[in-house]
Amino acid sequence: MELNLLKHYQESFDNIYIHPDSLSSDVARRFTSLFPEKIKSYDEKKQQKLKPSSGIMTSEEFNQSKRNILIKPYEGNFFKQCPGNNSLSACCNYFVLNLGSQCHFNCSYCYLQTFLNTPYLIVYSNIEKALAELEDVIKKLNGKTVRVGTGEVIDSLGLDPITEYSKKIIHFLKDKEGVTLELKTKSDFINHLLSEASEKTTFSWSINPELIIKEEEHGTANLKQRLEAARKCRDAGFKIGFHIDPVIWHSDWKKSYLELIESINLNFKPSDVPYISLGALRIQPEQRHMMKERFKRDSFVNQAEMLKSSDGKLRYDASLRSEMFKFIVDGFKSKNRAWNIFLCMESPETWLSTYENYPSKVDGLKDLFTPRPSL
Amino acid sequence: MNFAADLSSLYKETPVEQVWGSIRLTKGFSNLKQINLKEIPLQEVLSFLGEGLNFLDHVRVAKCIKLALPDFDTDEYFKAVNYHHTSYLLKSLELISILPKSFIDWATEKNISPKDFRVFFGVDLNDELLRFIDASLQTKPSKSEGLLIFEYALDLYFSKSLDEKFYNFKDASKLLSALKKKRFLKTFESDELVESKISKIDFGSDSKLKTMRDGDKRLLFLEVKSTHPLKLKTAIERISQNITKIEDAWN
Ligand code: SF4
Repeated sequence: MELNLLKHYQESFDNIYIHPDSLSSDVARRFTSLFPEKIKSYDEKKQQKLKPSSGIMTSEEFNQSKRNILIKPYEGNFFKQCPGNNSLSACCNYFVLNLGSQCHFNCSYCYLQTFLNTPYLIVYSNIEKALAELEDVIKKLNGKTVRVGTGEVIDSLGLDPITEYSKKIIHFLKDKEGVTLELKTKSDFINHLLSEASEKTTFSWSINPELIIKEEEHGTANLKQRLEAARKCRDAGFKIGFHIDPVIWHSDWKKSYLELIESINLNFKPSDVPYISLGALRIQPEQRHMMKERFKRDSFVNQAEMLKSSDGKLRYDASLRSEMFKFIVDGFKSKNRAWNIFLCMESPETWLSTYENYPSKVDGLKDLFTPRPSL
Repeated sequence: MNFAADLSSLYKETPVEQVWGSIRLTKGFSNLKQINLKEIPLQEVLSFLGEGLNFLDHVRVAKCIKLALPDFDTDEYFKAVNYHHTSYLLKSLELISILPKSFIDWATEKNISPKDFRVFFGVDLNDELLRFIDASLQTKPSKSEGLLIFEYALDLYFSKSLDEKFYNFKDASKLLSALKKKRFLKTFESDELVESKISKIDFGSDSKLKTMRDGDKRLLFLEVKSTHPLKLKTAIERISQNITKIEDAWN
């Protein structure tokens, strides 16, 4: 592992606990050899005590949970349908494979702040079980294609230079039909994967103007680093994608997002990036207290005008969302009509006011939104 | 747990007293019968108190015991009365020692729980904010009004927009709507602009088109009165003819 990366991890974590059932796993061995001084003995009773007694963690507990790693086997089903897949949002066919939970980056709007209730950053040690499930899914799909992402409750690549899980999945999928993999990240931790080029794997970056990254996405790679990592992945033969998500309103938002569009357009061609997704800031109502406590009270996110939407989340006013989406879509299209942009976790009304059409009717996006068999 | 701060503002002057050993547990709680607790073990006292008291009442009781018995384990006390989340509790107790008496009285009356204190977590409650909290409570807000008043006021304070006028309201619902209007200024301004443009479109006297806010959406609300189906048809046609103007006003 590169020295600067090792140093980054050393500064990010305090303790690493390994569940007895995971001691002989590859991932536990890797953590142990890289960070021997951080390995602490695992005591079931002590570990239970650390668990928050009820409900949402306090800010201190949450901060702590980012710094303590627990390696253990996962007992449930690894493979799940994307949470956006409900009747209220027009959603693409996306499935999630969680190989851990929590993240050592620190975005102010991160939904994990009220979603998680464990005092650790968990790394699941039984990836073999996940791959066996994936095998089953492929059989059921009968040749049809779905996208699988590993970045729902953990950044896909945040710990990947240590776990090397993505490499295992890429290898596994090499001779399989039906599933494409999406590795979603705000990091630039890609060097260990560059030699694994595969058409079935898309590296995607959640991106934002540099100003937003600096103010709201703490500990993540800056825009230049993310775009540089994307360029390297493209050149290595991977597909790449961008999620401009969450789009965040600020007084200079038009200028900031135009600059972002310029950077992407300058460095990439539409054929390099099959889809760009757009999503606006959205948070769970109870999340706002934690955000205000953990981050600057006058940050863009904490001062945002967030209103209750029909799915219970807080969002910007729908017309403002449409205005921002339309501005970004038009910005890309004015550079090159071939850019394919879709809205993520958005209501049909927002699609209508942005595209004047439903997702399944928009040229270039039809295939993405054609229903797949349920798994 | 920090009980060192002066919590004297917690004591309410009411006639009923309860005694446990030599310790006066509570002053007040008229909803409870007077009872001599001298011979009763602590566990029983707690289970008895747990039924009738809310969070702020328990803070008073624990404080009283702690003052008389410095070794008293207040963590155990709160667990015994079912307040398990010690981290929320700790922060709430610290806040209780800072917040003004008007807040403590209001919080007692409204059954404020440790989680409700989240609105103040991480805030350095300086004199200016304490003055606002005290002033806003003079408007006698309900529990939900009060919590939103504090939330919006803190947001405005940190964006340097909590004007002096907000300190002088007499009515809670008016204060809340004024704060909300300022906190969601862009949304209110754009709603007002659309409403004013729409109100200038002539639909005839039988039809009225209004906008309404429903969470993150602005809705169009059409009212057509008619004494005859043919008149209704004319009214609807007039609205259809104006659809481009409506769209222009909307965007
Ligand atoms: S990178 Fe993603 S998971 Fe990590 S803190 Fe940011 S939003 Fe949360």
